[in-house]
Amino acid sequence: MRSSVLRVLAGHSLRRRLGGWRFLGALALAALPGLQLILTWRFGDDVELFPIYRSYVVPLCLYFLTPFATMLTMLPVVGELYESGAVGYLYTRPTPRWASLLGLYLGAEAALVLVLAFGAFAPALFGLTVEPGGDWLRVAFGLWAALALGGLAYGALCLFLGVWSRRAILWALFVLVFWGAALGSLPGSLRSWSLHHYLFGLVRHWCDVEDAFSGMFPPIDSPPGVLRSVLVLLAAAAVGLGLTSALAERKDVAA
Amino acid sequence: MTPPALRCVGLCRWYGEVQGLSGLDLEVEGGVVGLLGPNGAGKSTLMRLVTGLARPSRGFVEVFGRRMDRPGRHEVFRRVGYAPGEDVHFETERARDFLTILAVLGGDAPGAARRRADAALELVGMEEFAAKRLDAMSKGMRQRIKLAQTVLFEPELLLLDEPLNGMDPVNRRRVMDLVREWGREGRTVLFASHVLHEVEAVTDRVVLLHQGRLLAEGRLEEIREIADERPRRVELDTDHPREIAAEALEADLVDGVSFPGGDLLVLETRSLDRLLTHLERYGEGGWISALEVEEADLESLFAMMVDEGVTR
Repeated sequence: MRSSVLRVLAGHSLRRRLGGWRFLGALALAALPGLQLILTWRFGDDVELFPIYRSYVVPLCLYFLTPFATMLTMLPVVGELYESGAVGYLYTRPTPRWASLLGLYLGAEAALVLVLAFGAFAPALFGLTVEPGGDWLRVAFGLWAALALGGLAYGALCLFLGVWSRRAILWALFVLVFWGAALGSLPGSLRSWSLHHYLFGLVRHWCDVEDAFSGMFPPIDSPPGVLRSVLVLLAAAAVGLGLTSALAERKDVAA
Repeated sequence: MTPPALRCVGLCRWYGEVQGLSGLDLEVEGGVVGLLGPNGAGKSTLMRLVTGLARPSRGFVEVFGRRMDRPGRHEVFRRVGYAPGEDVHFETERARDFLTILAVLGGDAPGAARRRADAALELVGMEEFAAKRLDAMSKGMRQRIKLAQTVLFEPELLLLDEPLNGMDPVNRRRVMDLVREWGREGRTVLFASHVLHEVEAVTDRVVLLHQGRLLAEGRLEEIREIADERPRRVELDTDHPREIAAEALEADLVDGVSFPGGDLLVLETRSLDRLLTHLERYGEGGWISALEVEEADLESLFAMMVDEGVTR
């Protein structure tokens, strides 16, 4: 398998994502954390924005932006090709199916990473403008890196769901919102079964965010380390891609 | 011994309780073979089974001796070109970029892929639309792009699923000429259509499918005799429906004319060949943007053949 196959399919996938209404929807979602910061600055009484960024914008990106932007961007990547039967154009080439899927996935991930960058950096740049100094960019970069890794993992699962079910949106809500964001913020050890637990581990280390997120979620006594979190998220991405590939070998392309 | 281009053995496919294809035994090698049947006969199901896009419920397909339900089947697509019945759907791409992507998937480096894409566009007469986005094209133009992607690598086996749907008369003629030429060159072409006239125009070898079963094989003349007694409908999308209808009536080419609304014109004829030849000049003048030949009664024609015992 040649890298040019991945390159052309990733390019196609990225163009398709950037040209669709879903991308605008995801950008609108990504604008909300920045909007929150602007409203706080405009209507708050003598507030310091940097602590607000860490305490509210970061969790908003983590628990709201990541799952919904990922669903909007990644669910249709292969799902819509299956539904229309157009995936047949790719599967009737002398290229393994997994390579086609990987190319499409990488392009869509690039679009998702752009959305997540907007969500993390736009409020930080606004904060830096009205409140110079502080660790704005370091924290924003840490947040973006963590969200991008989360997007890799959840994106691969969305790819699988898109191929697996015509009701992928319902399954994605369950996997990303319930199993991900909700289970990942429960007290006790159950949360360690959720990918969001490891996303939080990264945010904790890279953004110096307090355990309790200002009371929004229960504290975590021992958040996972960076290496473990990165490995778990990458492994989840690999599992998602592996499942997608295995399913694509067996599943019929619709009439 | 060299295996045939295509071989189906006891091929069955069910969709739940619905029978898509039932016990098909078929060998195809060299030249153009028409796969004829009414909608729902199993033509597209067969195409998807042959290309590995669907898995058989029972039996198997071999393409150039390789089983299509086994891993590694993608290798066979170096020798196969497939035009699916589904629309192109890569609508955000320009024609040349779409074909370049598929040429890279076929094994070309990007530069060579672009040259190959241009050559394929030229072959189907679409070179001047290379930079046009697919979603800005008519259905007939996208059909030609579909055909261009099929022949990118000059395949030995071509699988064409209703390739003439939505094409104007001039391009129908052009594509039919191409198909005949490929057949003469010794390629194997499986040409699926629900329109008897289309199949007849490219080959005299047919496989007739009806309700998922092989009804007959290689006996086109007999079907022709039965079909000739039945009128066929030609639906045109045109800016000049009344002028075209008047001239067709005057030339005694049609038995009935109707104007269902908008720019649509429906002609009923028992002289389809003559009518299509007559319509070509309107197509060349840009009066006709789409043309469909409907054989709404093909289902009943096939039922009649079953009753009359026309089997292989």
